[in-house]
Amino acid sequence: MFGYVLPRKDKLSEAENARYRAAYCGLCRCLKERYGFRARFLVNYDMTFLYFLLQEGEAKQPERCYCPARPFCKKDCMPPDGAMNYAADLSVLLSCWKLRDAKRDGGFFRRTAAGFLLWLYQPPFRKAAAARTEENRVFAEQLTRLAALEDRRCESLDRAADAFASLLRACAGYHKDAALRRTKEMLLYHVGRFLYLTDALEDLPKDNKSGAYNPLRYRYALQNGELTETDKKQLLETVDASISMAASALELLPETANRAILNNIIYYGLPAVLHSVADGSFRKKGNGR
Amino acid sequence: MKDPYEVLGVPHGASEEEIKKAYRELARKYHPDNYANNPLADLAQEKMKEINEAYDLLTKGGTTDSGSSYGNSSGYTGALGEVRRLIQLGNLDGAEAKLNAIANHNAEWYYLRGVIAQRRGWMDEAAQNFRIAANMEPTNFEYTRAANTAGSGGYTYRQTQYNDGGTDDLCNLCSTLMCLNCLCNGCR
Repeated sequence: MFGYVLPRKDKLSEAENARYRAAYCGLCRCLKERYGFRARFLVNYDMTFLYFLLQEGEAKQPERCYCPARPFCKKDCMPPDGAMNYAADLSVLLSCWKLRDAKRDGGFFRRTAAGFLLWLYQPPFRKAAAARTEENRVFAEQLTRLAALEDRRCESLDRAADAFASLLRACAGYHKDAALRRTKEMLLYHVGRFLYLTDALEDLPKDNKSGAYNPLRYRYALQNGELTETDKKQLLETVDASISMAASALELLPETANRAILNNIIYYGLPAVLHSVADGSFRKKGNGR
Repeated sequence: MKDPYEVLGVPHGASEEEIKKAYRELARKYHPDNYANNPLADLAQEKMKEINEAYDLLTKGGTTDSGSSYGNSSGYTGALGEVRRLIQLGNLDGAEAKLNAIANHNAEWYYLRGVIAQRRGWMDEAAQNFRIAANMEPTNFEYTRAANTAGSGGYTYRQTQYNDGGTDDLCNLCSTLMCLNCLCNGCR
């Protein structure tokens, strides 16, 4: 996944920070328990967000668990539950679809590496696909659609983003309650747009060089391979609008123990990531995240 | 019926002043204007109704009617009126097909095209169409407002919560300390 859906840690309380870390560690452990050690490498922040978003009911207390990255000490881990298992399954599915995408249109080394990893992750992928058939079907369908749009060099930002956003929207399938599901579907749709467009913005220089498809190259007239200031402002407004829509959905959700963390991610985390990607400071350490 | 204190998010036995303040904040957050052209407008309306009822119950003993009503577009006529009706029903594909069949592309045509895009969550196309509509008819309040708020998706999240406080220097100091914390926290 992308790793763009992050909280702003300086705006989380000590206790919330600890809960966030415990959820990340819990997801990692859950991946291992469901899919074996290799699946630990698929843990990511985006799916940690999904866990917080989907979880209902009372706040869970963390347990102490073993961490292979720090073998001599124990860490706090959120215990597995429905939302955690779901987030773990979808981490596997999304990672494998991402690898397939890399195998399809990467360079020689990328293709070989992706092929090897796909082989390595074949058993977890099969198991996750069997556990979440509907989600896997939507992922396959939307990514095929996205590939077709990329092949014909789609000029519409919205259409290209729609395929990926619709894919993420399917993650609300966890809920059976219609109103809850509809609200989270819209929230995830706009988080999906945010992810896709932020990724496009970050990859623009690279794609320009390699000639790979990037919707920004076709939507805007670039100057020296870069967006003009006006176009950049317009793009940021568009993505900001999606963050607003996600916020408008979040406000309609019932209160849960995770609300403060979700508020932080949507209201502070996403805008901070977007603007640091835009000014090029995102991958640099110590930018307040 | 839910506990009205819970709905307004105030403790039992809160003063009238506190209730009023909480009500005002919530009413601003879920105001229909905030959810104009938002696919979840009906849920916001329900929430607003709940808040109004809770407020009435706590302040007036629940006697008044809490009729918060959205303006509806029943006053519009003609082909574009039909498009508006379809949008309101949530039939976006039908509305788009109808719109595309109209040859006369006036400001309202572009505006409605923007509304359909916005309902779909296609904020880039929505903003483009709203701008064209507002340029064609700069005196129309509906169009200029849509063009001005397109960048926020109509929902003003910056007003409600998001403001990026703190000076840069302080933030940098904090983040440096946090990085240090990450390196040192080892077993936490």
